[in-house]
Amino acid sequence: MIHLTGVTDRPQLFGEKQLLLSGVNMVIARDRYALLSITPDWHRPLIDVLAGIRPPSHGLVQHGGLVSWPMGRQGFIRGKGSGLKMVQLVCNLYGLDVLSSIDWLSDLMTNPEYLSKPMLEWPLYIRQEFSFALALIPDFDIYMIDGAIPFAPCRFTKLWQTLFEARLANRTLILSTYRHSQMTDYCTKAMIYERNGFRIEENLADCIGRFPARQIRNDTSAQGGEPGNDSITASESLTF
Amino acid sequence: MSQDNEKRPGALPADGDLDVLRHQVDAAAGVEPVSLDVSLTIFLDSLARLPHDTIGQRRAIYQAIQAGQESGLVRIGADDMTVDFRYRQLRMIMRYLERDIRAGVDVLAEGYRAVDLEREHQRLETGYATRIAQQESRAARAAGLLAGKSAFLNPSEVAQCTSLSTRLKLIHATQQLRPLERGASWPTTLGPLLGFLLHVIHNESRVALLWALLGPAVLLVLISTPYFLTGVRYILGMDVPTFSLLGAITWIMFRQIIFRCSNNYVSSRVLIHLCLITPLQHALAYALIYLGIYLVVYVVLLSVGAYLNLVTLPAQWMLVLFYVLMMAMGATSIGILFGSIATIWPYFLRFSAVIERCLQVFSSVFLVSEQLPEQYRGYFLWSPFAHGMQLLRTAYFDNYISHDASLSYFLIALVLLAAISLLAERLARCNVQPI
Repeated sequence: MIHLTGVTDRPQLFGEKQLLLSGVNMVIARDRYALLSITPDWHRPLIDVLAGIRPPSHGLVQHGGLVSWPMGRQGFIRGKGSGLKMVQLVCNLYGLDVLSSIDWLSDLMTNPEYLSKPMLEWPLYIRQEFSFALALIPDFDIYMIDGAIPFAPCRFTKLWQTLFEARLANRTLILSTYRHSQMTDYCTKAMIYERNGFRIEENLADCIGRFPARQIRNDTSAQGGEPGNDSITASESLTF
Repeated sequence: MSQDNEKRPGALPADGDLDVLRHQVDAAAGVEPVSLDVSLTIFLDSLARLPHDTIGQRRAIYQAIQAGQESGLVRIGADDMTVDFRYRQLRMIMRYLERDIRAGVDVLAEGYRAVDLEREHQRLETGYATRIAQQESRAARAAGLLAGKSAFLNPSEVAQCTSLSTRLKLIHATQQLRPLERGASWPTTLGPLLGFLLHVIHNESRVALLWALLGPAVLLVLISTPYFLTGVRYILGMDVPTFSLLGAITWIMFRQIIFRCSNNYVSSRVLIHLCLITPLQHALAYALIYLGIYLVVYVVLLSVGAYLNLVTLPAQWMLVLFYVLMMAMGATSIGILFGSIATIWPYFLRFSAVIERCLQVFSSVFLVSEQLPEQYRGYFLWSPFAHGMQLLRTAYFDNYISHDASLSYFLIALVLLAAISLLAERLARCNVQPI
């Protein structure tokens, strides 16, 4: 459950201050939502606010439970730190046993040998697998996905999807993706962002028709904003 | 009764007849969709049986049929979609029937068929079938997703999956208190974060720690040279190498903490994806790391210097440690303040080095205020860090007691600075976007 109380947000997006949310008061009950809008480029800052990664300019965002990091983003999986140390950090933060988590993760991932290397050197598919697989370990109550759920036909995808489906029972999911099939597979309701606020609609299929998802367009084109404010790097656009 | 009614045209059908009709329709209610012919027959039979010359009479019949159907559907517990379909069907028949009756068509004649009714009804039935199919597919998807997913796993994968999910449950069972239950706790976040950041620093450059030792040594030489060249060996009872060393290490720690804190506050956009880590914690972790590094530098340089008989050891080392910590706290506050400003104006960090150099001049790094003529001391003593550094030296040396430095001024300034920087951080926090 997510409570939004008087949430107004004006972040710097693509070099300009944009009014993203304005006086939003709502309770997002436990369910599976697909985030839809005519501006998919703004889903990223919206998910930041919903996940509590960035507080809004005004107002309060409260969560009834633990929130996952937005899976599917490259996110914290970069830099010179090794994967093992990252697992250790996450496990320590959430009070989990480090060794059995590493064990579990290396059984799930396609190429666990990368875990001991710096994350900087990982190929993109390993980063994606890591982001999704690691998110299964802590006992989250609210799952955020910003990007495509693993879909390549391989062992990891099949195992992950089965495990995730089991984890998702009685939990909240907010999914922002450009893949229609994943929305209809995983979500039951549409969470529509329009007029600087959210609206929940029951009929997902209708809403997907009205707000066709598309791949975020600003990935490949040059970005207007200053380098500090880019929302997604070009390398991410290929698989994330 | 019905005979009476026939005598008086326009009188409504008797309640008893309508009740019978209502019960008949109620009893006939079923879950299966009723075809157009059956429904139409109910209407035509009722019309034939009961008086129907006026609009009022017909309305009473229609209402009886509708009420009967509604109660019947409620009785058998039909779902909303069926109720809706049957209601629409009924209204449609009424509409066409009434239209034809008013147009003078003999609806009771054998083989009566309303024009357009069948076509319209066909459409209604198609829509109903589509909705049923949609509902079924939705239910199937919701219920059978897991079953469908495991259906395409091969046997070895099913085994792996079972084992993984069992082990996952085991991990959760042995989980300590979740962050939610133990509250927003700083030590439980800062501890792991410190460990990870040290690992990253170590991976980035192995000479970084060596450079941390060399930096103060270089500044130490710079500060001591003028004193040695002018032949000064003692400043107000403090020997020059120790005096310089103390100023150099403390100040380098101070500036490093400012720079690292402000830089990492703005650019901590990677790890804050983990919702438990905030930019403030990130900046604080860096401040703690650099404080730790320079405490090691102190220990190494002082012990090496003492071994070579170049420096004297502290008189009250606990007090010295306290002032070093206070200076680090001041630096952290300034660093977070600068970082907060930089979230709005990124170019500001270019000025932070200039501001730091200016502060260095006024912070008793190279000299203490007692060395200056009385009238110039005011120019230096506005800076709380000048007070801090002189208090640090007072604690370090036996022979030196600073008369200008005020402990209360230093501490009050630090608390004010910390309050301002925390306020600025709160205001600037929403500008730090994760990368």
